[in-house]
Amino acid sequence: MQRNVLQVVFLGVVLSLTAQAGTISGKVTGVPGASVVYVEAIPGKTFPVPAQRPVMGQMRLMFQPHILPVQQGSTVEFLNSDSVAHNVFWVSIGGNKKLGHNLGTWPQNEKRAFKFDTIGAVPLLCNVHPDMTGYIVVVPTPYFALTSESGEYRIENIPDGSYSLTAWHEGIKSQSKHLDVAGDAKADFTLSR
Amino acid sequence: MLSSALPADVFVMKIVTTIGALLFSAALVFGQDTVRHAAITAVAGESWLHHLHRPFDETSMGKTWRLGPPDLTTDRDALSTRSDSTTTRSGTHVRTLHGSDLYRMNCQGCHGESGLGAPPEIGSLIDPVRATSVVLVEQRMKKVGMELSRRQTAEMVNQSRGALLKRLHEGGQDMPSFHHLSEAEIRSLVAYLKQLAGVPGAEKEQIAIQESDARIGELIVKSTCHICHDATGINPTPAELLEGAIPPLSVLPMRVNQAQLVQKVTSGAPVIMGTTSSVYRGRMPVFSYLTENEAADVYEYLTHYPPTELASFNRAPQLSRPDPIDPSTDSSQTRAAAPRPAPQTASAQVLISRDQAESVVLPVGMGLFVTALLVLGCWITLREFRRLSIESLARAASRRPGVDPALWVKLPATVELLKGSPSADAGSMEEIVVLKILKEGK
Repeated sequence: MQRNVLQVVFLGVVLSLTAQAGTISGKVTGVPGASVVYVEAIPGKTFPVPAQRPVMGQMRLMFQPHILPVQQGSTVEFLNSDSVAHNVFWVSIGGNKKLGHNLGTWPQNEKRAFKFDTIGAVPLLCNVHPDMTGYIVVVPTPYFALTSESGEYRIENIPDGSYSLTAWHEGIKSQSKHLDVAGDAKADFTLSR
Repeated sequence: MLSSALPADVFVMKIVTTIGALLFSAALVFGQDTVRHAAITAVAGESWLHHLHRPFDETSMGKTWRLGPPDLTTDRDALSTRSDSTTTRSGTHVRTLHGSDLYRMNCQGCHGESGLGAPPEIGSLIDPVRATSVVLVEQRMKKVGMELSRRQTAEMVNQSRGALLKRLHEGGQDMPSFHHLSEAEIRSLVAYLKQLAGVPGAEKEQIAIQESDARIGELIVKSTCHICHDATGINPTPAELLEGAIPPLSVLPMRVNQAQLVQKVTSGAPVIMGTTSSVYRGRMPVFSYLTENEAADVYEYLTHYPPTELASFNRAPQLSRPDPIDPSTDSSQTRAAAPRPAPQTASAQVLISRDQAESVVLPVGMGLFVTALLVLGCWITLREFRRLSIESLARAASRRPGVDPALWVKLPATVELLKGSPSADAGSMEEIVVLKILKEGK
């Protein structure tokens, strides 16, 4: 999460040399727990694949963090910190069942890596421990944020422009809205089951 | 035809058969030892809780509160009948154990009767076992909406199976290794784990095995007692007991006799603790799920195979039976001077070398035997080919006009004669002779 923020900050600094940059902030309500808010693909604009490898850990029989938003093209490392073996598999990416994959089963202190090129939510499961669930949310731009448990978020260093902003929450249909950013902007979402 | 060559073959065959038979019987003798498995060894080293640096009172084992009676008003009659029944046990009894028995002896102490453990300290074994079932994995995948091919499911199941067996053999951060279990015991145990975890059809796959009393004692001690009790150490005083000392296994015969141990393990017994020698319920949980016979096996095992300090080669000789302890003396008041000296140090070397011999001789011998068979097979085949070709040549020769049919009958003798000459190439000898015959016959 922190890394992602840093990444956003870095990109923002680079972009701020050419354009005015602002901040989108707001709150996602109506659902308990954290959500992901991100800027949808911007026509005519591509972003370099981040060199950093975000880590999705397995710790105390849980996926840590529970939700990990990553930019499209990121390679995620799955690190097992438990003394028992864990398996990681997902049924689909963005609802596409053809992209289901079994990453394997591995012991403590070992990790596996996977490059996520397709946009969408990846529901993570463990064959050994059925109670374990986690999500990787692959987003198209570097402008994204994981909300706090109470739903607040802040996407910083976003250049002025017109965007489509989406809020994702596990098990719920995502919600998008149009947003014009000139300096600071605010966008709240109310999701419901 | 050409039968004079056969006696040599028969001789070779005899030798090979003898060697083979010898090796086979050797394999059987050594093999039986390993099949009957796992020569019984003494328990050694610090307890698992010591290894984890975890105080007993902070463990789920220390919090069971399934303790013994609070005072000395235990049923003395029951105790005496108990002692009668247990002292008449024969030493080399063999009993049939089911996977459920192996589970009680090795796993239940920590994972409980249900296998759910005591999270977060002790994990549940149910889910990791369910993950090894093709049927259950398929069911779950269907439920979460994942389409897996048979091959992918099998791969997933195999990975889980591998992880489970690795866990059993090697243990983990919080779980000790169970490398003292034999393959047969693991098979029987895993079959029961599947039944416990509700794997469909597992009830039909239960495997029973035969175990000696001593082995039963060994399993219970190594898998259950040794979690909390060190193998060796000093017999604690009542004051030290009150402060939390756990008596090491080596001082057990100084503290209790067999009947008392059976009582303590299966239904609990009060202990004298503290400087005022008051009577307490003690802190050891009651292992009501162990039978009196099994508790007696523990005592027999600990007296026949005295615990040792180090977890190295420590096969205790069966002969070193410790002196019987007089149960009438109040052993809890006497303090053991030192850990019981390992009586087997002198013979340890011999036992190690025998151990190594078993593990080296068997594969090497089998390897040699197989190689010998292969070489012999090739040799006989080549020889046979050559003989057949000569025979056909000789037949051809005999059909030629003017050749004396008696000539080729003498062939083998001629060959033997020629072989004697140093310049002759033994390989093509027969052919030369036949050609010679053919020439001469013209």
